[in-house]
Amino acid sequence: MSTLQIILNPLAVDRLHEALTCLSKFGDSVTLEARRNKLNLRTLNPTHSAHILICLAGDTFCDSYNFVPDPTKLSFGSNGGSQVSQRSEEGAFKCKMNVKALLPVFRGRYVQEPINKERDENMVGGIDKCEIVLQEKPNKGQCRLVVKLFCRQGIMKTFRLQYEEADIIHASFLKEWGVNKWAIRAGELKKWMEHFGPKTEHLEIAADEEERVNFTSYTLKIIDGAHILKTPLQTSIELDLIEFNEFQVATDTSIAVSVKDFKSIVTHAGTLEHVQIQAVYGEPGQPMQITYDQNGMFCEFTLMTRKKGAAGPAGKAEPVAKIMSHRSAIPGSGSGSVVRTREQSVVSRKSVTPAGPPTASIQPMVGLRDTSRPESVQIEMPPPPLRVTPLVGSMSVVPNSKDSPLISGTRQSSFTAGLRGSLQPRQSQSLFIMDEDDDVFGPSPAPAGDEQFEALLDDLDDEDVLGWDASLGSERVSFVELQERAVNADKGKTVVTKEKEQRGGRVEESGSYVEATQRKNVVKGLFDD
Amino acid sequence: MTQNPTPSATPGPIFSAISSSTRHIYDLLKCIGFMPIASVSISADNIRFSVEDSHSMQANVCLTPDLFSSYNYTPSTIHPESAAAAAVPPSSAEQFNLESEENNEKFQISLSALLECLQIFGADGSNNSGGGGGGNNNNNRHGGTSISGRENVPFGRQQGPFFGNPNLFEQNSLRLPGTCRFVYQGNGFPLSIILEDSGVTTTCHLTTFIPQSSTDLIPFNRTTLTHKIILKSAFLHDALLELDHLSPETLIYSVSPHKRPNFSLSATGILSSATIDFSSNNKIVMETFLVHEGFVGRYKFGLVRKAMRAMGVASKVSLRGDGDGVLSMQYLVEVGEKGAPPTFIDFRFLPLNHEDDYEDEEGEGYSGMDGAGEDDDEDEMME
Repeated sequence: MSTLQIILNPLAVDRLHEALTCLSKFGDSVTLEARRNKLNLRTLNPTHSAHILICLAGDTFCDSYNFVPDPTKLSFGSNGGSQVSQRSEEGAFKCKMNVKALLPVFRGRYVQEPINKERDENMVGGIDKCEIVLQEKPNKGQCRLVVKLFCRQGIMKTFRLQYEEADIIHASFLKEWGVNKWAIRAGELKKWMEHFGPKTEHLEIAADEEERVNFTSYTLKIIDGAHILKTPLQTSIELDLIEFNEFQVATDTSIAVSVKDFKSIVTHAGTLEHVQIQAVYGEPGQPMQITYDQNGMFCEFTLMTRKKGAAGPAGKAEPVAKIMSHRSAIPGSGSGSVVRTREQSVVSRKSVTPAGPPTASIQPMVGLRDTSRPESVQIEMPPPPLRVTPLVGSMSVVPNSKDSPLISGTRQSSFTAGLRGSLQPRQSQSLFIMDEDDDVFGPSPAPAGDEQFEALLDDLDDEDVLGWDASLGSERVSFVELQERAVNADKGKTVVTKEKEQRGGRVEESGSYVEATQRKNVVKGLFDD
Repeated sequence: MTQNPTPSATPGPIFSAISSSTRHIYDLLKCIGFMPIASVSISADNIRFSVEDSHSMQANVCLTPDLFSSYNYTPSTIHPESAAAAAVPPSSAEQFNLESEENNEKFQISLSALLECLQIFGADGSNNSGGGGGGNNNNNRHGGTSISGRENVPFGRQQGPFFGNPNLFEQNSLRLPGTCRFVYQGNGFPLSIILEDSGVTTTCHLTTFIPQSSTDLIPFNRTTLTHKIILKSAFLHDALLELDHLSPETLIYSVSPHKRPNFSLSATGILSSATIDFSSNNKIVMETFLVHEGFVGRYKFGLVRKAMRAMGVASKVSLRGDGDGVLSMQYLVEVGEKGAPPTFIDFRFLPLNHEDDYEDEEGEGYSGMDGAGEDDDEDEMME
């Protein structure tokens, strides 16, 4: 039985809340990992394109931190952890919780001492200290994380939070990927974030030869029938290298991540004073890592970057497929997924074919908000339906493929985006592949609110899984297993949790095995055996 | 119908009252505005609005003559002298006497419609009563100033006595004072609300309904009182807000005379459970703590939640439980400046059965058997 006792001051509680808020923007659940001297909070987003690790140092962040690992678990603790940190992870206490349950517990706990005495008396809220204790009595079914808030006026608020067993997922980021790096003050970056429209999805970060860095947000077309679900809006911000504290980026390197994710990160970093954000990344398609730390809180975000379309029209799909299969192969049981990706590449090729002609017309499109491109539009329209149809199935978009303006608009944006950055101007074919690619990358856009789009994303989850690194392979299986076990065992658990569990499990599963419709069966078969 | 119907050729209204602002009335009624239909009972002492939900909870607001610049109740048949009595403001305890309703005029109206009507006049934050400290209100009402002052304070839990300072920069404070007249001519007639503002007169007729046969009060047996706690309403509000985050089904309310925690509220949601403990020896939070015996009650959280609006505006709350587990919450709402007689909003909740998740047990036979005696409590609350 592990013992965990943490005491936080109100300010730390506030920062913890900020951190949790940030985590909640990525995923619904947060994994807690208590080690001897630190507490790690992790979240992996549903599409597995972003992994967040927030590490709270026991000595500097907490007023008091005391963790005694479970002696009985020390021996077999090696099962789960990744090879890298296996030793240090021994005996660590790991659990998973719904971040929505955690958020209100820590919300608004830091209230400044009021000056007005009379007001003080009537002031509600504000705590003196916060104590987090692990209550682990597995035999009694009484496992709870107990948070005690010692409020003013002698009021005590106690929260008993359910948790479930969890395995830790690491985002692995190979050293050699980190060829490009830059660092900038969070405040500086935050200042510019608001310019990126709420509806945009991708953020392209490109360095050009003129000592400038381009942050461009744009949206790729999402069309459902006659409706445009995403409207094109592109915002480009150029920062001079002077703004950066450090900048080492290969010329013409341009990567794209999700705007939403990036914004969440910068917003969180902005809540910390004078913090410096450091970003490290390699080529498009390899993850990007963003880190910053302050006063005992270390934050590390690993974001998958969008795979850049290759140069040749026909070759486009290939690299994607290759990379996908490459990634998926590593997890071990990834053969199914390879097939799937191939299918995709075929699909994309199909969609590409009709789009050939417009190439030339697109070439000149360097202008940002150039809306007048009717011809290219018309010719290009057909592809999107093709692309969408196989994925979404019933949502057949084909009949509406004549909605040329819509398509052109969105499409153009994506295209311009590419041009705007240091990306090579792509030909129209590549656009569709980019789309394909992009959908593969679907995780990053992850617009939580957009239901229609979510359907799309769901179907694409498997690719996203593939995007992750090889070393997770062995672990993933056990993670799935664990989740399934948890689901089956904890019938008493809430519906919400269950659903989430299952969904998570499914995503994992499909990632490495089979097509969407078969996911569940396959999962069951595996474990029923 | 408790009252003999007035002949159709009405000699005059049974009830008429004039107020220079409807804001405070609106605010008070809004606290029980969670149900569409309210029962109204008019007496010489007050006009009472009550609503009930699922036969398990009841909420009452009594508008006392203090809240109006003129208040006339003329029972249709007899007691013309009671109207005269109304001119002399009775003690606030009497005003809030929920149970003395022998000869009251009773009917039901649509509360949501009433609230909408009142909104026409004052609920947009305008302050017609000149509460901006200026005393520019020249209405001939006796309790005039007592109801000004707070109207323009935004609704919110922060609202306490110390927030009662009216906003001197209220834009509408220069607006000409209007009047609002409530007229009820008797059984079968609508309740008319006549709003006059700068020469514009708006008349709203609200259809009255015959009250249901059993709209009596939930019985609260004062002889078996288990506990009585008076605390600052903001803290109760905060506690329930905290529990509300869990979206729980049930509120567990427990009081214990000796061992700590003396008073605690807890709830279990889907993902977690929470307990808020109050200690009885902090006088800032809890000004009265009288517990005869330990008490643990379970109430439907969804019903208790409906009292949260009242919790937000009130300054104090008195919590009492009786032997049958009926919980009574009385909120003291200060509608005027300091020193003005406060208004009370009263909630009663039937407990849940021990095992069942849903209410409706035997304690439900309404019998309106409550006697007097509430008066003492009120007096204590007022201090």
